[in-house]
Amino acid sequence: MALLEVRSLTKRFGGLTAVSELTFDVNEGEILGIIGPNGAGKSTVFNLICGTLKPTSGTLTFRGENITGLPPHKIAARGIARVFQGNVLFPESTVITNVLIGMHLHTGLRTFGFLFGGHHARRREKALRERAMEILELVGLADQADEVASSLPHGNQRHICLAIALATEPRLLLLDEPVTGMNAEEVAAMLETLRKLRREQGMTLVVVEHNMQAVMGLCDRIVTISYGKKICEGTPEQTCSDPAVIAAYLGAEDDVA
Amino acid sequence: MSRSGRTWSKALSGTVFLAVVLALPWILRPLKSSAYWTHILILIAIMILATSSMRAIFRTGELSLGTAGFMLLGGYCSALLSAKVGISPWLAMLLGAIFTAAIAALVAYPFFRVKGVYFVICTLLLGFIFLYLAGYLDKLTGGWQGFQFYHISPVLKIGSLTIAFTTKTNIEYYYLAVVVVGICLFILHRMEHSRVGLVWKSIREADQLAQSVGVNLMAHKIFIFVVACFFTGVAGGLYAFHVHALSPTSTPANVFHFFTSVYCLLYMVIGGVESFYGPLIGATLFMLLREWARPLSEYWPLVMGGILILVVFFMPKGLAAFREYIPEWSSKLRRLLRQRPTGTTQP
Ligand SMILES: Nc1ncnc2c1ncn2[C@@H]1O[C@H](COP(=O)(O)OP(=O)(O)OP(=O)(O)O)[C@@H](O)[C@H]1O
Ligand SMILES: [Mg+2]
Repeated sequence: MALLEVRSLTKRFGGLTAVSELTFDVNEGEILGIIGPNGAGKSTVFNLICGTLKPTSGTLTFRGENITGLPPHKIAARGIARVFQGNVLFPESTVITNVLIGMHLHTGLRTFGFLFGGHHARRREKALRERAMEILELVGLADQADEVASSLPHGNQRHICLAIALATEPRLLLLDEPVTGMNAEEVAAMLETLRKLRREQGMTLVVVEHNMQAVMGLCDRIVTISYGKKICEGTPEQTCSDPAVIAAYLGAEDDVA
Repeated sequence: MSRSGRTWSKALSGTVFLAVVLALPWILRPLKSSAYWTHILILIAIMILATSSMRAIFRTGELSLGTAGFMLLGGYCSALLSAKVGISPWLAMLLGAIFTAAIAALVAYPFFRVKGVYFVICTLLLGFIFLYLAGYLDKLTGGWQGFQFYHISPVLKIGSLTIAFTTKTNIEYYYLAVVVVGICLFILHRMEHSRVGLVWKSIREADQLAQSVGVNLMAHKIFIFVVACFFTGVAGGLYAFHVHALSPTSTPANVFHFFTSVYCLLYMVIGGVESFYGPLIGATLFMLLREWARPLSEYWPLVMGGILILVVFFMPKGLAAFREYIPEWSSKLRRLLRQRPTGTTQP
């Protein structure tokens, strides 16, 4: 049984069908890529999985349970985390506070401690802070823990977004364009972090990305969508040589590597 | 070293502040109009509580202009319970606040379905609805004539100390208001500096992201709204038992009129939204200023508007952050002074 099963997923916005009859599996421990030209519906797929949008039809099964139509906070509690397209973080907070907020589900605080603090809560927050530092260590931001998030360069902000998602202790991590807009060095660092997550924690990743070189090097399997429909599913090699994929990209733009 | 120094200076300024607050009626005593000034101080305490409640909701990024309306609910409810049912004012004030919170809980879900300016409008109109209900339900509330009540006040005795709800000696009521407002502010302060405060902050900064890390947006927004309206209800109750006369008229002089919500907003912004002490500073300063500016009478709104605009332009973080402005301004001034001469030599 796959970790996440997507079956006949469809989303219509008025007359526009952004995602159409999409079916694929995400297996435990793999890195799955989702590619497609601009406006193909990749982010919409993430929004559907995370509950930000409700599907028009179709089902989502996560670890054997139907999660279709659950609100985002419940999806998060089930173990699906997400890095948004663009740098969506808590801009006015410090880097470490960003991660601490990400730990919302794992504070281990009782109602009183949650609402009013107190001794026990303070001890707990200290432990959480240590855990947050570990996560920052992992993404290579431990030095900048006390900087205001929005003051850091784009590449670092992207790592903060990743750190926030990791703080939720996910089983499945969805990344929407994790390396877009980064320089070569930052790309390499991000890809290495993602590989390490899979290698050391056995995390399952789904990556949407336009940087073809990155996708091909990172992913085990790739699902290609165009106009909301799946046009190809296979290994990076198979995807590269697939005529439908080439046609879709040539029709839209020339950035296929 | 520096941290312990900071806690020390914090403790010291806290003690000084508390001492001043407690000693104020005695300081004012020699004045001829000391009773009047005590009355003003009580109003300031009440408005601080109302403004702090508004700010608590604002921490999540939503602005509620229902303050006056919820104060009206708390005020009328506790006054009616006390005057018509005969419940002790202590209990009545609590029940009034609970009633206010219950009404807030009822409207919170539909209200938080909308965001931004739509939410503002909803809360604003709700305030007007309460005002008109208080006017039209005349069998219950005394209608547009308002509602006066005089009663022999029950007394609370703690050892040799007696506290009474009377209209004659304001000083006792001042201490009562300080204690009640102090407890409410303490609770709000604790919440803001614990986990739930962090959650509010996260909702304001990026609600979608907060949701994606497991924050139940709706539940948290409703919770803080209900809590804040409870405290607004307390503020209304404190007001009711202070003036013993409530009115639903829509004159700006009536606290339950929408103007109060606007004033709270001004106090909050002028004091500084970011700081917990913003409402304290904003409300105190402006309400005192208004008293001193009485001779200006109808020009007061003009002056207030002018000051507000200046504050918004030059102190966007409010008066509470005044320490941050000094280096900023001095460097600006220095730059200006340095530019002058070069500017004149150029053709
Ligand atoms: N909330 C929405 N309401 C209406 N239309 C939407 C909405 N969200 C997305 N769309 C439309 O659905 C289509 C797919 O959008 P989506 O953001 O999923 O594309 P994408 O594949 O992520 O593109 P990109 O690579 O540019 O990020 C687009 O045509 C977009 O305009
Ligand atoms: Mg997208």
